[in-house]
Amino acid sequence: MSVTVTPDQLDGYAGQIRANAGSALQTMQEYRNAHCVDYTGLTGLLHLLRVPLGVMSDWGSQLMTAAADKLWLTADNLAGTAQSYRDLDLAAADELWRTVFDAPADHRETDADSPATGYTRGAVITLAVPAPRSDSVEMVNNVYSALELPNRIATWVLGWNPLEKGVPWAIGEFGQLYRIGEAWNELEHAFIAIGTDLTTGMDTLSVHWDSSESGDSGASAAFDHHIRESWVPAMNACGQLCDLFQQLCEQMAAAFQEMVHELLFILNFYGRKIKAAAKVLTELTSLSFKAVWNIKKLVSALYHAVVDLYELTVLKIEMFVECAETLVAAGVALRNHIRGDFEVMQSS
Amino acid sequence: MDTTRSLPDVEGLLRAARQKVTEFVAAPSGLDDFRSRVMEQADQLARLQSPGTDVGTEVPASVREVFDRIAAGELPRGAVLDADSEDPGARAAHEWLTPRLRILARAVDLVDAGMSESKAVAAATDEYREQRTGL
Repeated sequence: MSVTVTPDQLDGYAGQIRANAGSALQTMQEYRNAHCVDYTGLTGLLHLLRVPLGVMSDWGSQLMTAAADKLWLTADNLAGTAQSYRDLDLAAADELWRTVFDAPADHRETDADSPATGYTRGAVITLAVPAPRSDSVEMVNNVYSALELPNRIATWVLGWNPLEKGVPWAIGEFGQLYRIGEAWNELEHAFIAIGTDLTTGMDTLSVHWDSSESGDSGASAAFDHHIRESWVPAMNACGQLCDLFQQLCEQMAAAFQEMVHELLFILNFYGRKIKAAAKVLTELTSLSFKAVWNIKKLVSALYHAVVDLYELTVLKIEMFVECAETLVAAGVALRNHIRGDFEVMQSS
Repeated sequence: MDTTRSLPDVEGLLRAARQKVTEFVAAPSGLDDFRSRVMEQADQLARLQSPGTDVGTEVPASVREVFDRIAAGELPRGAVLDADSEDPGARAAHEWLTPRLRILARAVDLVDAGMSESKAVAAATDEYREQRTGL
């Protein structure tokens, strides 16, 4: 039975793991807090998305906390293993020297210094701040413009107009959804970077630690498995979930954008008809019931088309919420896995 | 809380999550045929005729004169629409038209509820007077 181990190398990798647990995940946590829950512009119908977006972000926070805690524990266990190796080495040397050479009681063997090399200071996490967006500004101006004449006519003829304030108010800044999606995309790459960094460090450590002949495959093999088969896939899985959050946000933004396009279409479509009907009013020699009937029916049709559009948008938002819940459920399972399924590894 | 899931379980959940996003993307939004539905409804509306015999109120000569100026391009059409028009004739036309339009608009509701046009206009006129006088 033989064990190849350089305890300083174990300490070196433990330092690298701690850097990921501390600096890298802390940076990600701060970034998430700043950009994944930035609701600026999520007004009108988009206000309904704040709750699911908040739940998604909470999941991210809990996951990062769980990952950091368990990475610290993994690093501590590895450093403890290094110390155990050192202690065992001293005890064995003492035994040898006492038996063969009758060494003095206060003698202690000391190993030559072999500082750990090849370890990083953790994954390099550079998270780009999503650029501000104002996608809806021009569209809202177009909506105001398209609304202006039918609104004046409807208000004049009917005395009131349900569309006057409600329509532009309902349009939030869907560009903000793209921004939040971009933030999740940055976090996706950060999680994967941590996984890659852990792999690189494990590759380095493997050269200096081989206890496979000590029985039960040895602690080195168990630790190697712990990193490569648990931590790295877990970080990649976190990255995948972030990717899914990004896709979800982008798709919702695109759906909302389409809704605003359709809104502009119906405002222009019915606006022209209402304008034509109103034109008749100033050409008559007799103010007729039929002329007013036409305008009222057109305004009513426009109103119902807008309501239909809102209902379709709300339906899409409800689907978003349902989808976000599924993603968060997967995220919770992943967090639980990270938080509690590594006990067997921690005893190594 | 379940802390016993293995990574393959998590992978299964991830697959389900990805599938859910795919469904979200592929789900019909209802917007695909929204325009055709809007146009179809507008066509149906165009085919509809207001029921009964049209009831008209003769436009006074002073208002017709304003209409003529609009037709000749001397006044913008919007001048009659706005109460704050600077043209006294347009303002007077606006003031003559507005209550009558409101009465007719209310009459449309009454006709939709099953009343004849003439009765609806008469009822809407009474209603308007009551509102104005508080009687």
